[in-house]
Amino acid sequence: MKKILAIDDQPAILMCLEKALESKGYQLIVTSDPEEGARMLKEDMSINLALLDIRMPKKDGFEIYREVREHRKLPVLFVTAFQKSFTTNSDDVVEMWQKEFADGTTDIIYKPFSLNLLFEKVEGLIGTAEEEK
Amino acid sequence: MSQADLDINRNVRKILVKHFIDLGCLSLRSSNGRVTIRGELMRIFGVAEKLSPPIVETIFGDIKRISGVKHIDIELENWTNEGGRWHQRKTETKSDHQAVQQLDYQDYKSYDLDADMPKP
Repeated sequence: MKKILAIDDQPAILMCLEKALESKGYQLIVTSDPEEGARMLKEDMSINLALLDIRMPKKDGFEIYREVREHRKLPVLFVTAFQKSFTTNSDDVVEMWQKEFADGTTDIIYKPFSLNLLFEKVEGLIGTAEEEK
Repeated sequence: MSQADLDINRNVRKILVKHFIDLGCLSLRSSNGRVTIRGELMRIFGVAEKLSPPIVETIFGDIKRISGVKHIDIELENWTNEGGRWHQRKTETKSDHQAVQQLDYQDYKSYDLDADMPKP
């Protein structure tokens, strides 16, 4: 079974993600604490995919992404309401886009989204829950 | 989904990223080498050079040449292919609407998921 860690400071969204993706057979770990989530992503090598909100207190999703990707090339799906988070007006975003997004293991989904799109994005990154990758 | 299809997906994303395409505006599915791309083809914010028909042609030409790709279905809201040439549609798109929404929603914490998301 594939394991997904979702980090979002809104517990209601985490509950929705958990319920939706568990119905597809994925194992979900959720946390609204970005620092705890970043630690888990670095320590638990059995996690197959990270779902990251971007705007969070204490630590934003981009910081977590950079930290984790220094350790391992974990597939990541950014889950955000803010399309403008991805902008070439930020040198940091451009560097991240060209260095990390370029290997094709990162995707983006904008809130609000349909469940079908969520399933498609997750399966498109790591396959269905039971398939070996 | 086979490993071959996952590899195709990854290679499609690589091409889209190379052209600064906003991945969040597209849906991508590969099945037995058949690639389906839906949504809006647009660049992330801040890219000075706008998408043009030759660039769109290059993007989909590169995708067609990915190893294992047998067929590509493209259903875009903001671009259309007529007689082998790409044209940008003039209609209002989801991203126009979303941009307005983003201006309106200063407090992003009030954002809710779609109605079809399961209720906690």
